[in-house]
Amino acid sequence: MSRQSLTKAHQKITELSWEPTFATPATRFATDYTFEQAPKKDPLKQILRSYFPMEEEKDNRVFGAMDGAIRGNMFRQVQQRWMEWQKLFLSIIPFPEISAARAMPMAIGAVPNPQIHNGLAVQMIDEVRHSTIQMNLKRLYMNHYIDPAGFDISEKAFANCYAGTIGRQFGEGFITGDAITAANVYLTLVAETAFTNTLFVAMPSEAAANGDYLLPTVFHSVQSDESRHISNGYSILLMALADERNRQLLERDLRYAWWNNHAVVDAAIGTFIEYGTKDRRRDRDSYAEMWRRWIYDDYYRSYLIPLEKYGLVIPHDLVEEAWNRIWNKGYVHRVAQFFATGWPVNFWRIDGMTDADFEWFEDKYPGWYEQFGRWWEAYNRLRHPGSNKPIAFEDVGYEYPHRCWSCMVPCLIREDMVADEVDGQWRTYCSQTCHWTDKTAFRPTYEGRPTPSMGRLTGEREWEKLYHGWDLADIIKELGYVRDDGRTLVPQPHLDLDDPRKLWTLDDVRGLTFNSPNTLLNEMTPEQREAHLAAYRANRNVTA
Amino acid sequence: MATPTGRSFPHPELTDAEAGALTFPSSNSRTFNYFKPRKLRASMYEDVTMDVQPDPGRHLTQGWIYGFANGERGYPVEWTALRSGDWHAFLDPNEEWEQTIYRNNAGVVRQIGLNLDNARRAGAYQTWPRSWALFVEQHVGAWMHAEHGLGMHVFIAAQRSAPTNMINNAVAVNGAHKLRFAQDLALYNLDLSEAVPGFDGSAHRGAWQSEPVWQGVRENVERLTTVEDWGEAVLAANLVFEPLVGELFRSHLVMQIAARNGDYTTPTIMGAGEYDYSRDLRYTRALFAMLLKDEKHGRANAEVAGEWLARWTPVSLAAVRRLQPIWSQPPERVLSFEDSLDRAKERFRGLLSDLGLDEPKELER
Amino acid sequence: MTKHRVRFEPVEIEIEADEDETILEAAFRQGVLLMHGCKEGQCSSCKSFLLDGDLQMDRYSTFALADYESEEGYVLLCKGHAYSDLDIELINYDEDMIRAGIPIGLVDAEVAEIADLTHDITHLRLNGSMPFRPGQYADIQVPGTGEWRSFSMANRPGEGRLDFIVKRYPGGRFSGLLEGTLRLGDPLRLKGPYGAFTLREKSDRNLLFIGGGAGMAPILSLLAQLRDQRVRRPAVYYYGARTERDLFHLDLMAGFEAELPAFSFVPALSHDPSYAGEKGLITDVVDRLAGDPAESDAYLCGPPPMIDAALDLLERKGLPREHVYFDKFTTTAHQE
Repeated sequence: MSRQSLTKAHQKITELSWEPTFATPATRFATDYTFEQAPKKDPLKQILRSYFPMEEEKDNRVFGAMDGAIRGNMFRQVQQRWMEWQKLFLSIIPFPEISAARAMPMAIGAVPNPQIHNGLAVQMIDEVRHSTIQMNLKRLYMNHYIDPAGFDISEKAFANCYAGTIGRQFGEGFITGDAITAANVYLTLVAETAFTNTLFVAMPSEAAANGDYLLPTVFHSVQSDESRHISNGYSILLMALADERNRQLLERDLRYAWWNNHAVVDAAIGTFIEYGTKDRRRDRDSYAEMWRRWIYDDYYRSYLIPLEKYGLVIPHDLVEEAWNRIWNKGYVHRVAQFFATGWPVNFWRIDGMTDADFEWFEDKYPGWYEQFGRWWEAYNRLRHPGSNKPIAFEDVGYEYPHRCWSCMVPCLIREDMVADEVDGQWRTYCSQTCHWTDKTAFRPTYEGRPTPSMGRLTGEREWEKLYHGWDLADIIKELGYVRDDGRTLVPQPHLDLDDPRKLWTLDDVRGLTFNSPNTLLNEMTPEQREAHLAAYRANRNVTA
Repeated sequence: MATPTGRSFPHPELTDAEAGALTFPSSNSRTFNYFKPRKLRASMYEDVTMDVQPDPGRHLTQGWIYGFANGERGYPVEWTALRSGDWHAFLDPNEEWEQTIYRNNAGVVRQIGLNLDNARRAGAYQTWPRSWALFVEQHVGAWMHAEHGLGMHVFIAAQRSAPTNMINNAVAVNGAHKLRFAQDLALYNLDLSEAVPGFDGSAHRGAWQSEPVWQGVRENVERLTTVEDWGEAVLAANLVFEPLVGELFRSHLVMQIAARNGDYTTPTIMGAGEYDYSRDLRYTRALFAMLLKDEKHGRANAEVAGEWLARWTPVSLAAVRRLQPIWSQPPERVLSFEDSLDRAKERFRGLLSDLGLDEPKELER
Repeated sequence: MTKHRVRFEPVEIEIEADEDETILEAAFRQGVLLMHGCKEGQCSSCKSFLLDGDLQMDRYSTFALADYESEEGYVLLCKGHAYSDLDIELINYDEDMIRAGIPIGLVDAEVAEIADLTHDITHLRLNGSMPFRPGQYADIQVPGTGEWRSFSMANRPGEGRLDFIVKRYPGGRFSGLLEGTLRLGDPLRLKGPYGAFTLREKSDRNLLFIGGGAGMAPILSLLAQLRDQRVRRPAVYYYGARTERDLFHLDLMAGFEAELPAFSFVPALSHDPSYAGEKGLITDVVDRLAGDPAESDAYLCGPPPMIDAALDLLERKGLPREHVYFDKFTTTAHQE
C-alpha cells in the first residue's frame, strides 16, 4: 500500500467507532485511574490489511529458518549448558505472552478513546502469535535436542515449580487487579518498554554464541512487533498524566512495577545469560553492562526522565538501588547460586562452572570469587551421587534462604531482608520495596485515598510450604520430575549423560527432609525469631 | 591463518547435542506428556495451546498469586453461568494458532485486494445505478460498525475471561476476524468514494447512528457489549445475532441482490465475512455441543442457554424487523423480506436443533 | 566529516547528521526525541519512510524491516546513515513529545557574565555547552539545594555558551543570587533542554510574536534563527513593558529590523502616558494594530496573565488555536 493511501486508510478506519446511545460496554475490569475522553491519535497507523500479510511473511521466514536448522544439524553444535536453561525460560515465557493478549481488553475498557483501541486490539493478535510461536520453538527443541526431559513436562512444570511461580507473576501481573496498573504500567510501560531489550536482544545474541540460531530467529520476529506495544503504553501514559488525580497512582504503580520487574526479570534473564553461556570472551558484555546500557541509559534516562516534566514521579531511588543490587550486591549471582542449590526440584540440569568461567566472572565482577567461587567448587565436587547428598543438604556454609513474599525470589541479599507480621502472619521480604508492595501498595486504600480496584497478593506464595516436612524423593515424584525409567531424576547438577551411574535417582535423594523456612519462622517464639532474623541478616553465606 | 587483530567473535563448538546421540532415561521422551491428546498423537495446535493458561484444577499447585479486589483470581469458572466437568476438553475445530491465523487472514486480504483491483481496472462501478450506489453507501456501509463493535467490545473483551487457553484463543481469533472484516468494509467504502462519482463516503456513519432502519441493529450490538458473562456473549452473538441478523443481511440480502443490480464486487467482500463466520460458528458449535453434552452439567447448561436464547432472540428479531424497509430500496429486488427472514429463521432453528436446544417461543412472536 | 541536513516530516524538524553516526544518534545528540526501542535494528519502533535522499543502512533484522517494505522506501533510523540531505517522514511519533528534547542532559557550566539589562532584569551568561533548539529552555539548579528554576536560552545553539535573561524578584531563590552572591567562575548545574517553543519552519504564515518581561529570551533566539536562515516571512514582535526604564535590547531589535527583510519591533508601555510610542496593555495594542492575524503563527512568551489575555484575543481574531505556540512550563516557571 502506498504511503498516501496508508494515511487515508488509517483515517478511514477511525470512522468505525461510534458513540453508543442505547448501552455502553460492560466495565468488567475496574480501574481507579480517570481519563478524559480527549482526542488522542493512534501513533501507529496499523491497518489489518497490511498487518496480516506482513506477519505471514515474518512467519514464513521463521519456519524457513526452522527447516534450515534441522537440515543443518544445528543441534550438533548447541551448548547443553545453554539449552538446559531454555527448559525453564521457554516454560515461562509463553504465559506472559498470552497474558498480554488477555490484558488488552482491560486497557480497552479502561481508556475511553477509540483511537487507542485499535492499537491495543492489534497487540492482542500479536501476543497470541508470540505465545504459540514460542511453544512451537520449544516443541522443536524437545524433538531435536539430546535431552528432551524437562521440555516434555514443560507447562506442567511451569505450573508447579518454584521457579515457574517467580516467572508467573510477570504474566499474572498483566491480567489481575487495577486494569491500568496491570495492563498499562506493569505490562507496557515497564515490562515491555524497559525489560524486553534484555529479553529480545541479549538472549538471542547469547543463544547464537552458544550455537543456537533458532532462538534468535523466533525472538527477533517477536521483537519486531514490540514497537506497537511500546506506543500503546506511551499513549495511555500521556493520557493518564493529563489528569492530576492519576499522579499518585502512577507514582505507586511505577514503583511497584519497576521493582517487581527488576526482581523477577533480572533474576531470570541475568542467570540465563551469565550462567547459561559458554562464551567467555573478555569483551563479551556482562549482563550488568547490558543492563546499564539498555535499562539505565536508554529506558531510565532517555525514556522516563523526560516524562518528569509532565508530572511523572520517577522512582530514581529504586532505579539506583536496582543497579546497586546488580553491580554491588551480586543479585544475579546469588540467584544463580540459589537455582543451583535447589537443583533437585528443578526440571532442567545445571552445569557447573569451570576455570574459564571463574576467570571471566572475576574479571567482569571483581570480588566474585571471594563470595561465590568456593561454593561453585563445592557444587562441582558434589555433582555425582553415591558418596554425598545434594549440595543443599551438605554443609557447605550455605544457609537456605527465606522467600520474599512479594517477588517470590528468595531474600538473597541477606542484610536487606525485612520481616514483618502482615495479615496475621510473619512474612519475609527481600527488600523494603517488596515489603511496601504487600503492606502498602496492594491494598484498598493508598496514602489515605481509596483504591477499591487495586489487586491483592494471593495464593500459596511460599512454595516450600506446600512440602513442609516431606521427603525430598516424594516431592520430586509429586512434581513429576522423574524420567521415563521411573527413577532417574530430570534435574541433574551436571551435564554428564554418558554414564548412568552419574545420574541421580530417587533413591539417592530419599531420606532427606525438606522444610519451609516460613513455617519454621512462624513457629518460633518472638525471642527465637529475633535472634534468627539477626543471624540471618548477619550471615554472609560464604563457603569456607 | 591470520586473524585480524581486535576482532572478537564467539567460537561455537561441535557438541553433538542432537537427539539420539546417546541413550539414557527419557532420551526418547519427545512429546508434551502433561495432557492427553485427542488422537494418538497431539496436533500442532494442541501442543502450542494446551495448558499455556494454567489451572489450579490441573497443575497449578500454588494457585493464582494475584487477585482482584473482590478476591477473584486468574480465570474464575464463575465468570460464566455455564458449567463443565472438564473445560479443557474443548478443542477448537479450526485449530487456530499463529500460523493458521496469518495464513487465513492474509489469504482473505489478498483475495479482497485482487477483487478490488480488478473491479477498479474494469470500471465495474461505472454501471451501478445511482440507487444501488446509495444502497451500498448507506446500508453496506452501516454494517461495518456492527462488525467493529462486536469485534472490539464483545469478542476481544470475552477472550480475557474463559477458563482455558483453547477457548480464549478461539474467541480472540473471532475478534480478529471481526475487526479485519470491519476494516475491509471501511476500506471498500473508501475505494468507492474515490471511484464512484457522487458516492458519499461519510453516509454510513449517519445511517448507523440515526437512520431508523439501523437503530435496532445498533441497539442489539450495543446491548451485546454490556454482557459480562463471556458464555452468554458468545452465544448471543454467534448463535443468535449472527444467524438472525448477520447472515440475514450479508447472505440473504446483499449477496442475493447485488448481482441483479450490476454489482459483483460487494458480494466478494461480504463473502469474506461469511467465511469468517463459518469458521467462528464451528468453534461456537463445538463449545456448546461439549457443554450441552456434559454428563453432569448438560441439563443445567441447556437451561441457562435457553434463558439466554429467550433474552436475545427478541432483541435480534426486533433489529431485523426494523431493518425490513431496506429490502424495498434496491432497484432490482429478487426476494422479499419475509423470504429472507424465513431462511434466516430456518438456519437458526437448524443450529439450535443440531445442538439439541429448544427453539425459543419468542421466535414466532 | 561530511554533514548532511535531515528533515523530518510532518513535524518539520531539522537536524544535521554525520555520515558515521546513525540518524537516531544524530537526532538524540541534537535533542530530538524519536520513537525507538532496541537501537539494534530489531524492533521496528523507529521505522520511517524515506521521502528523498541517499540513506544507507547497517545490518538489521528483516523481521523489523521486510525486503518489500525496504523496496517501498521504509527505513530504520537506528541503522540508517545519511549520505546526502534527507527528507524523512516519521510514522511512529507522538507530536506532544517529539520536541521535548532528548536526551535531557546534565550540564556543568560556569558563570561568565552577569550584567544588568534594566533595574530588575539581568543578563546571565554561562560558559558551557548544551545542544538545544532555539526557543527551548533549561533548568538551572539553585546551588546547594535540590531546587531547579527554568529559564529559556536567549542565544543560538552551538556557541559554546548559554545566555539567559532573568527577572529578579525580591527573595527569589535563584534570581536573588544574582544580586551579588553569584560570581564569575562559579559553577552551575543545568538540566535540559526542554520545551516545544520552537519555530515551525515549514509554515509560510506570517509571524506574530507577543511578549513581555524576561520572556524576550526565547524570542531573541528565534529571531536569530530567522536571521541566520534568511527567513523572509513577515514578522512583528509586540513587546509590553510598564515604563521606559523596563525596555532593553532596543539596539538588538534595531539590528534585527535592519537584517530581517520584513520584521518590525513594536514596544508598548502600559504605565507611561508620555511615551512617544504605543501605549496601553500589549494585548490592546495588538488588538489595535495587528489587523487580521488569522493567517499567522503566534508565539507567546511572558507572564501568565499576558498569555491568557493574548490567547483570548487571538481566538477572537480567528487565529486557529493550533497556530498559537507557548510553553506552559516557562510561562509559569519564570515566576518565583
